[in-house]
Amino acid sequence: MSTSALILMILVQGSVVLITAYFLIKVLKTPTKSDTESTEDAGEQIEP
Amino acid sequence: MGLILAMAGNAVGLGNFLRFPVQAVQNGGGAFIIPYFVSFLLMGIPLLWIEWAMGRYGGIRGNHSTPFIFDSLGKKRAWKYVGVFGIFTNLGIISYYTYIESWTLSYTLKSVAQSFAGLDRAQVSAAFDTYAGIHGSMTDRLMDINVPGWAIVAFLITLGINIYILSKGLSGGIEKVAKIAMPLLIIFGVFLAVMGISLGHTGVTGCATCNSHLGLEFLWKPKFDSLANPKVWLAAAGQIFFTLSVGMGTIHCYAAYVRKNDDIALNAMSAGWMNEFVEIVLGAAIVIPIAVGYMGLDWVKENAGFMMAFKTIPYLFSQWGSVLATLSGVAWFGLLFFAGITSSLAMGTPFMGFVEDEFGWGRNKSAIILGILILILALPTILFFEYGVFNEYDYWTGTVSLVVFAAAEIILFSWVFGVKKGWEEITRGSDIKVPNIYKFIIKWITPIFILVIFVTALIKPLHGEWTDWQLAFHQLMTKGTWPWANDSIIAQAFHLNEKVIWFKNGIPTGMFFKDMSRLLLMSVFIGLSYLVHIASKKRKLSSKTIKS
Repeated sequence: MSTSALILMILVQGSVVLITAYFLIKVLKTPTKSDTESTEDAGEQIEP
Repeated sequence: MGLILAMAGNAVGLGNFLRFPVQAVQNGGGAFIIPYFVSFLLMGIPLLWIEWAMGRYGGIRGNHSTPFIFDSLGKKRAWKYVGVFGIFTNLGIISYYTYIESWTLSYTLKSVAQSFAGLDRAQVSAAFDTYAGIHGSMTDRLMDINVPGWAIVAFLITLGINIYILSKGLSGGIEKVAKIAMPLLIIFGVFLAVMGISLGHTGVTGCATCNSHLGLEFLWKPKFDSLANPKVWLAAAGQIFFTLSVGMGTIHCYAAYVRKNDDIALNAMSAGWMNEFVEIVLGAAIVIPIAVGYMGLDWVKENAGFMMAFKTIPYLFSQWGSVLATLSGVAWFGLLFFAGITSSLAMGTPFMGFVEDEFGWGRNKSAIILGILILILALPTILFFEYGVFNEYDYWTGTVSLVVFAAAEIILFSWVFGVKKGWEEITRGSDIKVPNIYKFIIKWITPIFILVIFVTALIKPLHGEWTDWQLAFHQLMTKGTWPWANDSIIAQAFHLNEKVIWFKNGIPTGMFFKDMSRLLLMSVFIGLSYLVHIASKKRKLSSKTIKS
């Protein structure tokens, strides 16, 4: 592989991995809001 | 977490593994990634936030389908009919998508049974043609249907699985499936990506261009000159639509079930970037490197296409010995099946949300009726696959409708509903700081971006490169004519570059089947619009009753 291709690949893939991990960790660490119901409950609303 | 995985599953589909690498190869390799990322930042991310915001806004007002989500945002009655695209598109796509999903299910089982062992490339390719009922030339041949029974049984099983899961609801079915399917998909993807990258030049001895690293080199070598090519930009923007599942109506429907102050900005980012990880990190490291490793770069440049996954890849896996071939086959087709099913489940929700809200149907009844509708719409694509029905569905519902719907929703959100209210909706309850620049982007850049894509696709000239546009305008000024590209929307709609012949020697032609499939799709759109009209009247009647 040429250097330019390798640099672009590492740069793009590395950034994507880091950003994805950042948002995923942020979601996992964010506590559930007390004034909200879960999707589960909301989903049940449409059950006749 | 279940909803985010379901959203990511909605976005992660067959396109991540099959469409992205092929688009990259056909549009200049490494150059493609630049317009792709620009489209993601200026169009993909804003649309994700907008669709989540629209869905939550409609959902807290009791609307779980796009016609009435649109109705709650816009004052004019016509908006709910524009919202019909959000159900129509999904019904159209799910019909042929479920069929492809059934191929992946069959091929997973075929891999377990080692059905491709000992076959050469031509035989593996022919096996797929037989499976899909493709016979090559159709000239003067009596209309015959030779789709094997097993293909239809596999489709019915796949459809049955989808309908069963949908009947269990969002939390009881779809989220549970996503929690299992998404991690498995990533494990399979990582395994295959490692196999692809580590293949190097060991695949074929004596073939100088058979090296998986050459495939990676071609995919990632930046060629900045192609940035001036509108064709590359159009392809990159189109890929963003496909990959994020924006402009479909599915995100609205999922988001309609989150609560008023739930975070949507972070959730949208999390699901969107997870999709990018699967596409850019895994999707780019599987099909093209492995194919180049065995077939050489020139062959891949010439033959890269969607069907390569079924016609070529099983043969390439069989080069790895029986155990690895089986493992890789199960991983590859299993991965495609999981990617497919998490997306098709999302496509089922807009119709179900609509009939449950407006007609009070239960989940089971809605799921069964949806299953019957899919079956009716899918049968022509299965039986007349060879006659172009499949491609016709894909073009109108999987390409044109997405852009039309996205153009409409961005105008509705940014200009009718208003970007000030829209921004409040996006940022309410957010656990991340949404950059203020996106306020400007949502109001100006994204609408212009989408309108340019739409107009370009509408009147695209032959070949579609920058010089072709200049020549086309010159031709328009001097001769008063326009050299339509075959895939421009206007040329397709009016058959501008082809003769309209429905029958030849009394036998229906491909054109006949294409036009009949358009008629069928149009009937579905009109039927759905009529249902929206009835639902609207019912709503008015019930609000009058409450008032009195």
